[in-house]
Amino acid sequence: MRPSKKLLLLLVLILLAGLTGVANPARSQEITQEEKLVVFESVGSTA
Amino acid sequence: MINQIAQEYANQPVVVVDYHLDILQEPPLFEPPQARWDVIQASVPPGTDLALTWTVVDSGRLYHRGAETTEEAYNAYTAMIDDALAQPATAEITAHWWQDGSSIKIRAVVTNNSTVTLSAENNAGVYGIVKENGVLYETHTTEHPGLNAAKTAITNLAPGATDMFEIEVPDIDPTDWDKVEVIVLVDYQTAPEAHYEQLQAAIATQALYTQPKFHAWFLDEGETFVPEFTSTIMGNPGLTWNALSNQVWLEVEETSGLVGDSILLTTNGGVMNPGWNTAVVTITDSSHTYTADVTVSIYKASPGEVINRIYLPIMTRP
Repeated sequence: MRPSKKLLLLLVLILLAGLTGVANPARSQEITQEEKLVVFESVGSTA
Repeated sequence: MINQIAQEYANQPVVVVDYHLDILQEPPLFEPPQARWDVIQASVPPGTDLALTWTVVDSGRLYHRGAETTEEAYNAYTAMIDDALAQPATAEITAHWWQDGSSIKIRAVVTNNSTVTLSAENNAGVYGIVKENGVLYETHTTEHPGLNAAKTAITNLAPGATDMFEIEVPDIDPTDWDKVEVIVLVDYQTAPEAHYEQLQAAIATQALYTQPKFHAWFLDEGETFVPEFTSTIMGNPGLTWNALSNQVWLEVEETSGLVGDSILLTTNGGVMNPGWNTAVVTITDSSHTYTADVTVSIYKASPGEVINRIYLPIMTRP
């Protein structure tokens, strides 16, 4: 196979992987995991 | 210092609440809201002398007291916040709030994702903490004053279980309701006379409110015409509502609708008495859970009275 054809095939594979979500396996986890909210409480602060 | 920290963490999930404590009088004239003061005090062993400024994160899992220098305070507070940010949330909270007179009512759905059963035995609770953003009260030194807080005890919430809780925080009198922020927090006491630990907190969204919520008109002697005016009903998407006026002189068109719709208000100045005339339109959602209101105040001049008006220049950028 010629180098230009190899490059084209590689490009197609990369595009297909991106479309099917192979490159973003952590995405669904990011959406479902709730972010921690930190509450900083102070009493009698001077400034 | 605390204002600076709040600013530096403004783009991160961190909320700062500052409570006032007046120790010059015995008993103190001002104390933090009792519900949170109990939690904060548990961060040190009972009987420990007071040392201010007293700061906690994660309901007292980490604390710092009596910093001598600004540098010490800055380093200690940022280390506490960074540590707390690195801890995972062990509960999920979805919360809404609405105003009922001077009270704030909250409805929160909590899922316990921890391994601890939340119950009366470990003093578990869901808290509503009300603060006002960007306002410096005489009684506070930061622009993050905590106005009040309340707790609803959790009687039994096993790991993995979900339940709904209602909290009412009374006596809220902010300078500006638009600057009010409501935080819902879940915590429990790790052992008798030991510190508490926060599972998660969330900023509650306002379930039902009106914009604007106040209209005022002034009628000169003999004048009766008031142009029609509107308020928009805001809140949870998809919520349906009904509107009802408590005065016959204030008519509401479109007495029902969806969040995002507006009510058209019309009135007849001819039927009003001299002086202030006030009407309240109450908006109630179709499940009769949430309420909001629009207040209309119209001042009608008495015979011979002249209403003085001052017109201020307004400068705007192009």
